[in-house]
Amino acid sequence: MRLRVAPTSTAPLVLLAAVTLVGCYRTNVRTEPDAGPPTPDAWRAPPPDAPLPDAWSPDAFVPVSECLRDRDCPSTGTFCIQDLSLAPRDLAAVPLRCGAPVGATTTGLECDSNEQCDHGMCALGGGCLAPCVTDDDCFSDRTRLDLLERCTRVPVVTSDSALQFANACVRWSDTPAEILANEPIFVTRFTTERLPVEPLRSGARLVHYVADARDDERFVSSITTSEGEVVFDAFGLGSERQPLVVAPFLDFIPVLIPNGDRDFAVGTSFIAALETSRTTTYRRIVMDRTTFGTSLDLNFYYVGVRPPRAGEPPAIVQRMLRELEILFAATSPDLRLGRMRHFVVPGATARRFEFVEGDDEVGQLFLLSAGASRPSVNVFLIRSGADFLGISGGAPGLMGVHGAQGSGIAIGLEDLESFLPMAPENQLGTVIGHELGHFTGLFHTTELDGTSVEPFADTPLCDLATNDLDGDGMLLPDECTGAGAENVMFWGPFVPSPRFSARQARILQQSMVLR
Amino acid sequence: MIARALALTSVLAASLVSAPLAAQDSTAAQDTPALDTPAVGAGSARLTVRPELRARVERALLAIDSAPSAAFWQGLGAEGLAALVSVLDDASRPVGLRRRAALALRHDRSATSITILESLALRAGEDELVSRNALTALTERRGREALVVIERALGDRRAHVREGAVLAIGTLRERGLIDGARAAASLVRVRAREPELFVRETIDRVLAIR
Repeated sequence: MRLRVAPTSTAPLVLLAAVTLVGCYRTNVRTEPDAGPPTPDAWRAPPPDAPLPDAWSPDAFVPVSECLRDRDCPSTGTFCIQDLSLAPRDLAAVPLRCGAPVGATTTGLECDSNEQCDHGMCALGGGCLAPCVTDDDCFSDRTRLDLLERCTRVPVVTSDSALQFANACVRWSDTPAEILANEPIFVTRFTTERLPVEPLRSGARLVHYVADARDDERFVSSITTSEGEVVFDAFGLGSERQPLVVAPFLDFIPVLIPNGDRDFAVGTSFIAALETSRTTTYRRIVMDRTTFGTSLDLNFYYVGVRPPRAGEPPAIVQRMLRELEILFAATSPDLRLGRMRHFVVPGATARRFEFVEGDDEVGQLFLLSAGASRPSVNVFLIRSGADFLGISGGAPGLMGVHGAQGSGIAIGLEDLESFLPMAPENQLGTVIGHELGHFTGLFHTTELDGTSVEPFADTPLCDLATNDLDGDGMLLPDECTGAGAENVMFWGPFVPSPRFSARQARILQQSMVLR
Repeated sequence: MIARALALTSVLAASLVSAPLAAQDSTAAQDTPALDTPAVGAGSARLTVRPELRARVERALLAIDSAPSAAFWQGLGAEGLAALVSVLDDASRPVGLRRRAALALRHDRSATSITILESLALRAGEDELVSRNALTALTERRGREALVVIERALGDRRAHVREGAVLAIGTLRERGLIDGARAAASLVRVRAREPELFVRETIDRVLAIR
């Protein structure tokens, strides 16, 4: 039995099951009164008349500048650019003025400094930005879905001690060229409704339902083929391994097909039943890929930990990357690390997020990836997480979308480093590999209390009834030797040189972030 | 047996408390299970913890992204508490382990752990995130009864402890456990003398929650 949730269709238990399902990942169990459906842009464009004091809140940002977007600048050849003559001010809005282009690099392309970009703004995550007020100010040619943009809040480094924020255009998704992505489709106002998922165009499919509101609970309770075959049932309490799993997280719902041993023919149609605690609005983004990826690009964000010097990451990060390469090489000869980029988070933002406590904080941390300009996974290196060594924005996380609450993984580097003297080799690689596994769609082989939602035949389970030798209700690695403790996706670290299984490797290589 | 339990309580607390910060809870004798394991002396005496149990506790603290349940910790009983205390009281143990041990104490039901958490939250020279986690655990355990410690933490020299205290007040306020208006007024006063921008922002965020 994989899930310990009583079968029921009642709403309270549905939500209970949602919490149970997400287990060790991130959950949002706050319940807010229903304030009615949000406007589609509510979470991207801040309301100009509702200033709130939280500098990091996307809803609190009220820039006061000469211009807010290019069309506020009537003179030919002028843009709405960052006013670089003003002294940096930590957490303040990026000051804007009309003027000639600052640099030669255009919006959306990679940058290392503000001066390189035509609008004088380079996102913390390394992409040139153009300011905006709404999505209408951004690239909206629906014949170029790979370039389609939205207007969102983006952090901009303005000095070694200041991170400021701007409303700027960023791409809806950044996926490798071989990924087929659709235009984000509005799915408005549903609670416990059935939504169609289009027929499979290829071998792997990721569907993200991205919410415009962040204050309700939501998850996928079942997926069936159009012929009525149940391929996933959150309340299915049979003894068989689930052929497909999904997970619910903060501002999005991911549906990954396949995420198990079962393959589906191209053309198969699915119905996903989504449960939400209130009427809300979603964008549906469908991504398909036909080939295995081989190369994974990572963006490292240094949050209160030792930063790179002279372009070289600190020794602890270099060691982490070496160990991750070893893990990848042992997983598949075709799997390797790609290009690494490194970004230092300055000022009060680093102080706030160097220690992360609670799901909301994790989600806020991942929002800092807005403006990252390429297909990649965002890795936030913080000092410590209150109750995690590492954490993923989801299982799977929000692959291919930067600047949302599921857009990355975080590692408590200071804590992890302190553990190394008592750990076997390769534990740095294990922890980041474990979180990347979650981010691409993998679950724990066995949870510490013996439950599991992981679906693969080639990853052994550690059964509580037979393996919990001391009867304390918890499965420690030494009780699961030969029963999954050797797998990277086991719940606990510090097993020598754990590995991914072949089936897990397939999920990794089908993920929408590998080139 | 009660006298022995009381003695053990004092011993455990004394192992961490350099200057007692709160009166011993009068329920300590009832909360602390009777123990047959001998107390051993080494300057400050404490419970003997079987090495295998301490190893088990340390492994439980090493979960990558899962947290052992309250039932697990409570099932370990007084010896489990002593194991957590021994981790916390051993400066040679990894700081990440000690931070997690402090947070895990929220699941212990004894009055002893409350005393320990009160001490950890305010102990000068302690790792700031150990203290921060202790404050979080204490707030979860004690609700408004933690307010004395929380208010002292607002004036702590360590910024993350001060921020933890601000968030603790926010938690108590959200739960309706303290007077919202008085709490807000207090935070406004604290904000005026707060030197760190990120703590001031946290105060603003807490004040904005209605």
